[in-house]
Amino acid sequence: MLDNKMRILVVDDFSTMRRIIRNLLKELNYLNVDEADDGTTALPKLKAEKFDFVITDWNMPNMSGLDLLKAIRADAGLKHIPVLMVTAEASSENVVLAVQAGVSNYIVKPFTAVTLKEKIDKILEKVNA
Amino acid sequence: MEAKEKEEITNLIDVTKSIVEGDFYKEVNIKLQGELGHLASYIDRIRKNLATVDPGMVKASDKIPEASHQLADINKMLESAANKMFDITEKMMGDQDKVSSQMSSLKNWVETIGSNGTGKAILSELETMHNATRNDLVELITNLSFQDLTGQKIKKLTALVEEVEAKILELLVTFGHPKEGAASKDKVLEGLRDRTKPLQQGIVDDILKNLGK
Repeated sequence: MLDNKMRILVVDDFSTMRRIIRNLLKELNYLNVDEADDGTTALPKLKAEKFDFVITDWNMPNMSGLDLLKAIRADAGLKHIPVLMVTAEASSENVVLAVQAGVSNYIVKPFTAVTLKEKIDKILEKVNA
Repeated sequence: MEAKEKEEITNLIDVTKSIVEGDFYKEVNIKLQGELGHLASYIDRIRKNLATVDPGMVKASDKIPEASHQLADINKMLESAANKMFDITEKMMGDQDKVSSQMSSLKNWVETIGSNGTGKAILSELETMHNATRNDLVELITNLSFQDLTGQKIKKLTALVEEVEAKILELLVTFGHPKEGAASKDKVLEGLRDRTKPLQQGIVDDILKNLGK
């Protein structure tokens, strides 16, 4: 059962975007948040520590959000973790690729706190059903 | 073959060699007749065309590294400005949390002392203002995403400019430099980049000091 005590990993190469998401999560009362600056730093963190939820950007150096998502879904120990993609890549092709790779939901930048809440709630509703 | 004709052919060979080495400013002596005259005229046209293109290319190669540095600087400045705004906004939100806690205590106190309607009305108004400010602060933080969005676009643009820069430098190195002859690729690249590389304040101060400022 996931709730506001769940541990969230925010992955984005822009520190300002990580800060935005962290602040919005705080407003939504999600306080257990950690950060990584791209897929290559996120993946070892996910394997070494316990995380319940991932919020990731798409465009990142070294390992993109899409590749991170694929790696999570390919790992038996991580594949159950919900992944919310937050990205400026808003083409239908990208959305389709993300869905095919197993994304839990998709937010297009710029976004509001309301959108973030809606998407997280929707994912938790499914996971907890 | 006459000596004069030999001399003109030697001149034509010299000019052709100079063009290959990047010097487009040595003139062709077009006094040759027949097919050799056509060839001399043709080589001279090539020389003149390359001489026209070359300064433009040098100028562009000077400006383009500057453009990519400027773009990178814009990105850094935007990030720095966004982080400063974050610091201030986060501090204000922290203060707001404290105000929330104080207001809660105040509310309890007003209820304890059995204040008349005026106290409760003021408190309610304060609460409304407080919540509105909180929403504005959240909105402000959300809107700081402009830095991420513009930053991504600038990064793409910088990569594109760097690609163009590399191509121009490649052309410049291929053609050589009119005044320096056929300089080595490394030398040309180093020279062009150094001129536009941003300097640290310490280096600027040293230069100013040397200039008596």
